[in-house]
Amino acid sequence: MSIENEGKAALAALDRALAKKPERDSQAFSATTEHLCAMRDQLIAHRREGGGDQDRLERINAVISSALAGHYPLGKVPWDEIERARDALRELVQTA
Amino acid sequence: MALWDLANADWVVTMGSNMAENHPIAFRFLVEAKRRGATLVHVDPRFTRTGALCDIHAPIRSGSDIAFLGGIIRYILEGDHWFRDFALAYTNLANIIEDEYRGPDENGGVFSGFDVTEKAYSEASWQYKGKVVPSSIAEHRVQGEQSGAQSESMAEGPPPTDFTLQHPNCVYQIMKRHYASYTPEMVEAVTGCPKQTFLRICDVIVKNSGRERTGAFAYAVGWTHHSTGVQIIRAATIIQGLLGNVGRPGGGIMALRGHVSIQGSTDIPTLYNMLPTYLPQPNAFHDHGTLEKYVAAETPATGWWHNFPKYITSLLKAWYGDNATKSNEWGYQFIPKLTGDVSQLPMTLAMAHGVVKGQFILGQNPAVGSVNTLLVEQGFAKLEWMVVRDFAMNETATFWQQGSRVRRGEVRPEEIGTEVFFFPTSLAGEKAGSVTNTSRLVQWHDAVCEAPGDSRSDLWFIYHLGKRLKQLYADSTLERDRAIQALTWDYPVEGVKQEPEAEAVLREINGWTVADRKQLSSFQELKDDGSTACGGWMYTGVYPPSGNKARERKPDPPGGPGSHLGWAFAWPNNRRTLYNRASADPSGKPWSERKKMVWWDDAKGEWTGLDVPDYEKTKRPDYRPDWSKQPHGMDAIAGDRPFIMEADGHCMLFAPSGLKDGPLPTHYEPLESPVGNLLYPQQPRDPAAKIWDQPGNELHHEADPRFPYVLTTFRVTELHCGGVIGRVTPHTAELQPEAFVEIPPELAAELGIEHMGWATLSTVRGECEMRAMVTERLTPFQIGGKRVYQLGVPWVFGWEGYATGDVANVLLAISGDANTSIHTTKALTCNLRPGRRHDVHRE
Repeated sequence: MSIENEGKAALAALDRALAKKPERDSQAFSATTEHLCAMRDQLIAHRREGGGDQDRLERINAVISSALAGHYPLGKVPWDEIERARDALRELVQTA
Repeated sequence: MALWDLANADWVVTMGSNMAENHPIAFRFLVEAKRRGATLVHVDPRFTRTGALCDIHAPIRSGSDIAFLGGIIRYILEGDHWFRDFALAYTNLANIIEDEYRGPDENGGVFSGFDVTEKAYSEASWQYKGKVVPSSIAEHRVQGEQSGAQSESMAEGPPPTDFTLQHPNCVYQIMKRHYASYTPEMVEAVTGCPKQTFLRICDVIVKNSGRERTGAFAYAVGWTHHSTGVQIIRAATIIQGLLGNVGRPGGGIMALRGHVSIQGSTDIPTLYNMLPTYLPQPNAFHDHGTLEKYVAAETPATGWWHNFPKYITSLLKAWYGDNATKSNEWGYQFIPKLTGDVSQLPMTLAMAHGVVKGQFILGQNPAVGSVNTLLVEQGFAKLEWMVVRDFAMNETATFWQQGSRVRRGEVRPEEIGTEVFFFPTSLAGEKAGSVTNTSRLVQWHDAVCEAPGDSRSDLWFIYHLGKRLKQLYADSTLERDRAIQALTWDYPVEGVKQEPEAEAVLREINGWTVADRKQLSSFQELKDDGSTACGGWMYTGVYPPSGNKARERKPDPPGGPGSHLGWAFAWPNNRRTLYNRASADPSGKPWSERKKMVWWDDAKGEWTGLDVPDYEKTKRPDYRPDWSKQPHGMDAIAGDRPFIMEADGHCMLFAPSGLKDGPLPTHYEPLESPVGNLLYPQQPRDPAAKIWDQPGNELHHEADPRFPYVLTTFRVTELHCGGVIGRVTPHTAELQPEAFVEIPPELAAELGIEHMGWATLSTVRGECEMRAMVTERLTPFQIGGKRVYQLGVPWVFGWEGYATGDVANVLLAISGDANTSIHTTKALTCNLRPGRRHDVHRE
């Protein structure tokens, strides 16, 4: 899958997770994590080939950190932060 | 308590531990206690060498510990056996809890404050009425729920109390209601322990506690490795608090740690959620954006932890040296901030999702020792690289070649892309360093011989890795690389191998004055103004100007104090028994001559005694806070309150804060159980336990007929810890040559399994075959009128070495205690059948 499609799939999965809020949808978070990581790995591969976008890579890493708070929460899920991560991901996907 | 202090006990209950086999050195002190007249009890599903050496063995079903201990609490309360002068003065028995509090018996099996959707508790209704009580343990804080500012209420006046104990919401009345149903009959029905055996143990405990007599519990991972592990330990705490067995000779709870220096690696942690010596790890989603905010949020208003700003500032100075200045918040922004649970188990699951790219594995062998090892191997296979350090080749390093998934035909080695780097390590005698044992005793050892070949110490590896990383990022101008650039990494090295000087690390942990690099003698010298640097405040004093106290080996002579203050160093401040102010009565006099430890010397105006007093040296017993001045820190702690790490100096029988699954221990069935919860039928499991539901990690349903047997895992004496060290050594391997499963004779007869024949265990996670050890060490239980069989397997076998066998941990699920995320290894369900596995191709 292309970076763009991985991003879209991650966004759709994160939307699904947020739609279930406050219930934690493990499967939706799992899918989010997998697609985000696949997206990140492709960005890393591009960087290693001498191309890619460092800023995009850093932003996707930040989204992963926040999404993991939903996937593996410490206590209650920080839904506000997850929503912010979704918005950041949407921006990333839209500006791709 | 010190290990040797167990010899001063009048009773010792070993529970959740096979102490004689897994802690044989420490067990000598129980043998000595018995020689002096103590009664020894072993509560365990299996009759082991520990049970054989004790006066009483009480068999209980794995995972029913809180029902047993709750029954003891009820026995103490209903029979009025508690040590009134001690418990009324030193515990929160008389404190009044918020009106909204409800216990599980009156709230559908859960405590008040439970959010069914989030599967998490709010502590609001558990508080002292009108107060917010801060938790003293960073690890156990309900993240984001408390802040230091909220706990200001503790400085405004004492919590409300009723010393007549009549108030319906005082802790005493709450506990009486809570444990009312834990009758001896219920204990027998839930645990399977005969009522008469249970009552005999209760009798031993209460008759041998009080002014003249004390006793102790000793436990190991047989308590911690449950979904309710923390609460099991809390239950013992309540018993000891009620009976006055805390801070006194021969009294206490001995946590027998699972590995060498696990205590040390908790103090100077390899844990994700704590900074050294139990300081909270900052969190990106809490009010921790600046050092000022972090300190404000995490500093309790009252009690010893009010000193927290000194400890965190000194830690930052130790880590970042000249790069830590007031203008850059002493380097606070260099510290990574948490977002979620990045403890080992969820990160193992995250590996399979591709989150983690590489892993360093030091001092462990997760292909054998982690739970759900098939999932662990799946995660390993998704890594780009893995560094494994061990003294011999272990299963983690060869998972790609001979792993359980490979041998089952699920994957071929050439399909696994993980690049594995194996580094040989030194063994203990080949490197210098310290070991911190279960008694917080820091003991130094030197290298006595050279490690062979390319073997290096872990210290060498980490130090030189750090040097290379600093070199790699030296010229970076990126802000994110500042942390590694700023880190002090200046330990001297010695010899051809360039081994870092281990004592230099200990000196840094101890701390020094920044201006003249003078070693500190006590944590009371630490400051929050950047003038002191300290890598772990509790260890201050281990390396004072006079030298390395961890090296000292001067035992007390026969007839001496018995605290052995000249033998190594026990943190904090070389105290051997924590909270030893409790060994004296409220007026400062020993409870009895026989059980004296520290006392108030009125002539000198100071605390003195046989141990280093765990108290402000000159705080008079009759000191009382002046509440009109809103006292903070220790000024808010009265002179008759020994428990100085708590916000009000009381032993917390009822925990208003600090626990994520309830203020009182409550019996819940293990996450997998063949029976329902007889005490709270509507709530079988701990509702806050961490369950990560994903393919390959499913749990069995309650009383699942496919998996009717209770299974516990254990270690064996001959194969130390995870087993590699013993399995690759011929003379220990031959003592335990093959993996086995312990089966009670009655079940073996039912299933047609022969002693020494093959048997296969199964769960939804996996299967493993083992030799059948048909043994009367295990007996069938009657649980709620149903016959329940218990099995036991050692988890220490793998495919490396001379003594091999299937990895038992393929059977287990990844799950976590609500408080610590510790996995459940001691109580699950399984099936058993005669014969071997069908999924293995045999030549």
